[in-house]
Amino acid sequence: MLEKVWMLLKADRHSISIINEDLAKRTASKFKMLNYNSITIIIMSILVILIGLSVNMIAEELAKKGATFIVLAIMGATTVLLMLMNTIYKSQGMLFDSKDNNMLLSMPIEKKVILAERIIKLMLTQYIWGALFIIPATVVYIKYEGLSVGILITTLVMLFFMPILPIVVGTILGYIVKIISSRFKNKNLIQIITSIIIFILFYVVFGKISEYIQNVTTMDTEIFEFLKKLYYPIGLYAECVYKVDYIKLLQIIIINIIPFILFILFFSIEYFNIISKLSENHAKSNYVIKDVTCKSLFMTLLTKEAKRYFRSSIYLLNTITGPVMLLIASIFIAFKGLDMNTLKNVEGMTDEMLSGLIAYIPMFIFLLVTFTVSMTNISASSISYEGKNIFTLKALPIKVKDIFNVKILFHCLIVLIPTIFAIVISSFVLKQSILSTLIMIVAAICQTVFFAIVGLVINLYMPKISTDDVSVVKQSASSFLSIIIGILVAVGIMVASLRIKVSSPFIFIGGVSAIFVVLSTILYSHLKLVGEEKFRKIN
Amino acid sequence: MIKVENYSKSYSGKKVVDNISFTVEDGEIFGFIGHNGAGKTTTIKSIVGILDFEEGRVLINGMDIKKQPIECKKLLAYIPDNPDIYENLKAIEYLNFIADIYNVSRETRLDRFRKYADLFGMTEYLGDEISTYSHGMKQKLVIIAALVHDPKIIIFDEPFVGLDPKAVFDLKEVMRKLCETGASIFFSTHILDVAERLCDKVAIIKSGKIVKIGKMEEIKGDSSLENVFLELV
Repeated sequence: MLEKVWMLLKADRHSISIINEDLAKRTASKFKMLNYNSITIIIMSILVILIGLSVNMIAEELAKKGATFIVLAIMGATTVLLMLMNTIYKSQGMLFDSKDNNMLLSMPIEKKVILAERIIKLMLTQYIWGALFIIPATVVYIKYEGLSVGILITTLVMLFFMPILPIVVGTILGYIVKIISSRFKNKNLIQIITSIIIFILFYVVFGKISEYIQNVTTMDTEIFEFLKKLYYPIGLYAECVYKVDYIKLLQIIIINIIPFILFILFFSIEYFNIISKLSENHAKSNYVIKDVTCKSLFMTLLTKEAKRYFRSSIYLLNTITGPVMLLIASIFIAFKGLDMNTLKNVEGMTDEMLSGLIAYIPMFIFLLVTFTVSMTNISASSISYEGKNIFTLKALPIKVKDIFNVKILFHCLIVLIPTIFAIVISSFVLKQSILSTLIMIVAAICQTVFFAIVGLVINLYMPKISTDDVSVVKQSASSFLSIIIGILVAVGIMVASLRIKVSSPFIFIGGVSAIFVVLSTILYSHLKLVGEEKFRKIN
Repeated sequence: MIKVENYSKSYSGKKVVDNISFTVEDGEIFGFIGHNGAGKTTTIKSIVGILDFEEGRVLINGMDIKKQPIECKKLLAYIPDNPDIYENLKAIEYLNFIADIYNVSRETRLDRFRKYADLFGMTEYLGDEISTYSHGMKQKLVIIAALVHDPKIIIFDEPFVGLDPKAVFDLKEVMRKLCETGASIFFSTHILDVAERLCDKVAIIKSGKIVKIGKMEEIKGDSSLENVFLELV
């Protein structure tokens, strides 16, 4: 059995990776010295170092108070949350919608082998997350508290057992999402709504942790209590390292292992029934042709783009989160209310400082919008998302320019509708003038258009034609690069906003918007010049 | 009319189609036959403007597909070998999408949807998402979509694959009727007896080169198309 599990794992090894496979392969093809594995090692090492440096910053403060162990709890909780989210997301593709279901089930392979391979695959992915966070955290801990056998044993046990509960809970949540959606006519819509609810809950908890981390030196005990309440084994883990308590270590093992055994027992009986039920897909066959509406070419393409976007839960959830969260945050502020005058009570706050802060509200909104807009990459997957259907667009009498324009417009509509609402609501709550609201809206439009064109250009240069939405939206070099560029631009703007002294934030906002307009014009001209040829070459 | 003149296509420097020429006249059914990997799909994709090519010309009713692609495509309908179509759309949405692109009026499109969907037994399934369709149903849908704008030139790549016997029969009838109205049909197939009974002209392609071309009677003589094909390939 083990031999067969290994065989299957080897065949599907790339799905275990947490780095962008498409980009790694493209880089490897450019640099002869590198291959996929070496790129993976390099990226992972960089990540470990970066995480280690961040952990060290937090630990330095905590060590002064003799509370270094809290850093382990923080990193443990972060890892568990990431593992949980990753499992909810991965369980859809790895367990329930696995593309190789039919192939494997038709082969002389025992079902338990298939199930074992899938669970192991899921676990291995989580081990990578665990190693990325827990190893640097432990190294930092050892740096301040010294090395002991107890720490090593506890860390090893934790590394091994940490992914188990997130996998069990994440898979159950993923299954619930699937089951709920499969009972409704519009499966995708329900899947999207349930996933958004889970994502919002996740963000609330994650936001709480970030809030604590910001005040890590003054609120160390509160953090620890919060994390312990949030996820009991994390508290045990930190205490185990701190006090080297093997009873508590045993408790960690039992807490993880019992639910896992129950989960495996249930899953080994029900798993194949579940996937068989989920794959039931039949036509209703009750349609009667009544009437149809005619649209212009532009509207036809736009409608097609919208229908495909909203019917793909993966495309939608991975690209709309930012603008939707921005809107939700603005609605939240509107309900909760935000009175700037309460800042007067903050120690050391002078009237001058307060009026300076109020004057910079448009800048805060602008920067928030910048971060949201820059990291929303709908157009960066829009060509790849045509997948094997790209021949349809190519064979039809449509100008390539029209296809591009529609994709840019669609990106802008999806990003701008919630963003403009968010700007209007927050401007109203924060008592901004109509003119400043309009300036912020225009600035958002300039940025969105720029990032829509950037995404499209990147996608034209790096298309990933695949029928699998996950690999197109999440694992393509194009979507990854567009996010990286977005982050760099947003960070650049933020740094510039701190460095460049101007009399009014609107001068800065206007200047940045003008730069976006110029860059958009240059990029669009480039798109017109080479885009058609690039598009024709995609197969 | 389709006119292919000295067409060649290379992939990474290797010629996969080498200097082929042929003409499909109005009202003619032209069969394109060859072994797997002979260059049939590559040629077809170039004719319909999906694939770029380095040498030669493809003329659609006298217009160059490279110079006037939009005008050429307005006359064409292409049915691919693999019906990879927008799975997230409902079939009726897909048909409407195609009709909108070709600017087919509301009444005309409704008539044609009814006519061809009924013919292929698809009407009741048009409200379903394409992802729920079988391969054969997708193939039928692509055929219906291709006929919605009453094309003057129809290019099929393996049109009979995945179709049930009745659909094969109905498609052959549709092809004949379209030819009677003056449309040109160019199609590739491996089903040689269908080609023998249906085609006016045939070209046999082997490793990127046309090894035999002409009227069906001239090509097969007293033998069968299958024998001729096996001898040549």
